[in-house]
Amino acid sequence: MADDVIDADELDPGFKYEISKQPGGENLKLCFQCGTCSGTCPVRAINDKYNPRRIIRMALLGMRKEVLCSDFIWLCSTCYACHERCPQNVRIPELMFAIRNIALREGNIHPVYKGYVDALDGHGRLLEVGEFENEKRVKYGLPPIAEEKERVRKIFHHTRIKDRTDGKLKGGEACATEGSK
Amino acid sequence: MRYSLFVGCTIPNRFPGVENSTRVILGPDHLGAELVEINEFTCCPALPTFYSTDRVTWLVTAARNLVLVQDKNADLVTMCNGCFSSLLKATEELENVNKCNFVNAALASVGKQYRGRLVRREGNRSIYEPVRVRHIIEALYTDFGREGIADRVRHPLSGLRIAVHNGCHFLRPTTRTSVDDPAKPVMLDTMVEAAGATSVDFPDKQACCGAGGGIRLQVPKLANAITKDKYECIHAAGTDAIVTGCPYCLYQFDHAQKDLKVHPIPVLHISQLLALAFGVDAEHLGFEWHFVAVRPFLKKVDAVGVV
Repeated sequence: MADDVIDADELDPGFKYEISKQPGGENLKLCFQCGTCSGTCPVRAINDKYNPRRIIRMALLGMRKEVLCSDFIWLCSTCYACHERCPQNVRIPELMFAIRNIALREGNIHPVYKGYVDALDGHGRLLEVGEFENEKRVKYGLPPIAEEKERVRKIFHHTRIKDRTDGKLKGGEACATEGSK
Repeated sequence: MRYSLFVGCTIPNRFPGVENSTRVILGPDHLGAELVEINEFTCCPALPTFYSTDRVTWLVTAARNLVLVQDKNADLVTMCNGCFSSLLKATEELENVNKCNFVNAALASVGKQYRGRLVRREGNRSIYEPVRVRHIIEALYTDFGREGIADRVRHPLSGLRIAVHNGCHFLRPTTRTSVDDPAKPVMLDTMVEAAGATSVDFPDKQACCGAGGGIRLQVPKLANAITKDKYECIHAAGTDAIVTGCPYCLYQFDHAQKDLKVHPIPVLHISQLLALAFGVDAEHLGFEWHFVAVRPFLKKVDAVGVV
């Protein structure tokens, strides 16, 4: 992508407004590209693939598909270090969450994140607490834990999250044909 | 003090000793807090994993957990930064009447309604406040204080050098209710010092462990590289153990050291460290589930205990 010339005809100038309307995305347009976020970011220090300043610039330019269908938007470690230092109060981790919420509606979710949804659907927890774990608990005199998956499932059914993570909702197929990479 | 312990996912799955040491130090033999048992909690669910993809599902699931504690006249206490930040943020969002009504419409599907905890009645009106979500570090610091903790120490950890790792979601973001100073936090350090140990200083003390936001699952090498940076600072400072208030940071420091094949530094939860200082037998504290052997640290603890 870095070697390509950006085609202005393919940009979506409304993208920045779309993000700004999302909770957490309100301050996107305040960014003046100082790069404090990228300079602060512990992920960026190791791996160039995640570069918050570049993602914000792409969003401001209207590179909707490139942002929403990417895998780099899933690499924020949510350490909030940039959030504390950003002079414009862009609240970058919250902004990434706003972008991911849109991405999921467009059919892009990182497999790890889809795994979280499936784990909660299956066990009521991100990590299973089954027979093995309960045996461990008994050894320390801890009360056994029951899985509450039925109640979580009812909530999931109500909010239709599984329809989105399984790509069954109509209207958001921007990333479906591109793949998520 | 009435607490309801919220155990979350990582503690019951990986570190039962963290829950047990918390129960022991808060229990009748030591700090004497009253524990209210609630068995129907689910995942909090964590902000980076759920709030970041489906905000509505996150808030409804979190609200269901808060409903379970709202009528119990108890503070919800977490032993995990992830549970803490998620549930605290949920109480803040639910103060918005429109959001709360929306959430309650969804919660009706599981027969629940979020109101918050009843604080008083004014005539026929009931006054509710948000459910109090607290982190074990803050609860110990505020409700018992340095003196209250130090009074219970039977086995001072004098001379032992501890690197504290607060973890991101205990301190940040500052836009939500902050419990400790994000720039210069004191609570965890104070608890370590109350146990008689020394909290050492090192560069980038408030940096991320590397595992957050699904990084550990997505790109383990990237997570470990971030951990290595922090490990180097801790190692150079000359420390006997790393102490944190978060089981996921604990897991990352513990597991990453094994992956990185570095000189091992034992990693403990603050509840486990305090239990040792209170004189609780190490066999109740679940150290056999840690990857880095805690035994060398326990030997040092035994050695300093001989007065």
